[in-house]
Amino acid sequence: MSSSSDFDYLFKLLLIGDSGVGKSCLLLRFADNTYNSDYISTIGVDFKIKTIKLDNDKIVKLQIWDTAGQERFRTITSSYYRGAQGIIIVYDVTDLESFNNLNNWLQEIDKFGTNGVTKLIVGNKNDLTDKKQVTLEMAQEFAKEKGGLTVLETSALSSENVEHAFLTMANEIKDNSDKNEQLGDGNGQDGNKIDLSGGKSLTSGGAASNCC
Amino acid sequence: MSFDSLLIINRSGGLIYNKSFNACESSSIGSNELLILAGTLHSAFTLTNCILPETLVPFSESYNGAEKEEFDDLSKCNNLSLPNNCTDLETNIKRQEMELKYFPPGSSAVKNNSINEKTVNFQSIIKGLTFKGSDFFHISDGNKNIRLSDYHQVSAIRHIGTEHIDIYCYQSVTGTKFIGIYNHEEKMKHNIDQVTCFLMRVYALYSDIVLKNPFYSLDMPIRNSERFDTKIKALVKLDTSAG
Repeated sequence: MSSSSDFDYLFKLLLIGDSGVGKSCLLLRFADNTYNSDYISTIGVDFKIKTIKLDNDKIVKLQIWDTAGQERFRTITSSYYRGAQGIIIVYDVTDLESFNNLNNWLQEIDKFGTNGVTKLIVGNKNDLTDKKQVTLEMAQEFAKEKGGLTVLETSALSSENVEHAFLTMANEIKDNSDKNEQLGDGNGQDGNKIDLSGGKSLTSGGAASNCC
Repeated sequence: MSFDSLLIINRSGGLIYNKSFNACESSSIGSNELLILAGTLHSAFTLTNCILPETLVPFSESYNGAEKEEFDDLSKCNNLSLPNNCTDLETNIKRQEMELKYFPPGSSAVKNNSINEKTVNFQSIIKGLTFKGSDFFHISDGNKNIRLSDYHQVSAIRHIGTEHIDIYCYQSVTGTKFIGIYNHEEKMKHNIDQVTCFLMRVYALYSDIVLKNPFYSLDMPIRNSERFDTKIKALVKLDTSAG
């Protein structure tokens, strides 16, 4: 008999963004460390599993769902937002249109995603420096407007920042869940502390002497 | 058929529990493969829910004309070339919320009150649980007393069969999926309703032991729950001996 206890956490991550920005390539690079330059459009949804170790030595299984960017799959892909702990929104640094569409994707998250889901913006294809249209400053400005989201520039081709992006995500999710857990404890300690020192002790005084 | 393994998949497609009852094969399947199996099954569920939204709605008598119109709005899935009854998921969820009522399983099934060995075994499983819906644990002999039309069915996929294995599924209203995998080693045949009934009992144990544990966080793997393990083992033993 065997049980599923060889990992501590299971996080569901989701990759969204316009068609052709390199979501599948990012995932392929992170999960299998390979790269394929052929463009194969994702049909519906695909996923991969990757095991990582967090800073506190906890083993986490990341179940990363890679969605199709094409509009016609939107009905299917939107049903995968449910229960995702982290959503990575990908744009293409050489394609201004995909950057401008980030707003729409954030709206999709508001519509279908869980409240308080961890979000990360990733600008892919950063190796194409001569064709770059979206600067990191532009992206950071946008992210700041949207409530201080983290922005990273990656390249699935050169594997620049790819691992870092997913690990950042995993650690942020872990921190978020810890914060939520501590929220309850924190309130108890600060405001509503119950003082038991004023009560009568049962072991000393009257209670003890009257005991038969 | 002998019972091979039990999987519990959370509402977002993650494997939160698996237990293999077949000693020799258990070592060959890694947790990654099982996670992939769980994700694939979840996708299959999502797609069937999209194609056959009616399977989500067991009480079809509450249909009316207005809803039907809403249902037929295909504007959003034109490109998918799915069958005519495909609907926008949002509508789907709305409908689901609208029509789901609590309907305790087996409540109108014929009750068999004769106390036999099985009943005693069942009592030992539910002993110490705070679960009040004893209907979940109502025992029926043979196929006569189980009428799943009485049960709340939200499972779009109930059975996947191959030459060597049978996979039975039960989906709770919240989308948690309970999967039982049976292999064909023994000639014994299981009735689909019986298996679904068994999976519903697993659901009851999950609700009572796992979900009521204050240290358990939702959607995370069920770990170090000896109590749950023991009860599941007892339930499986009872189920396999029942035939």
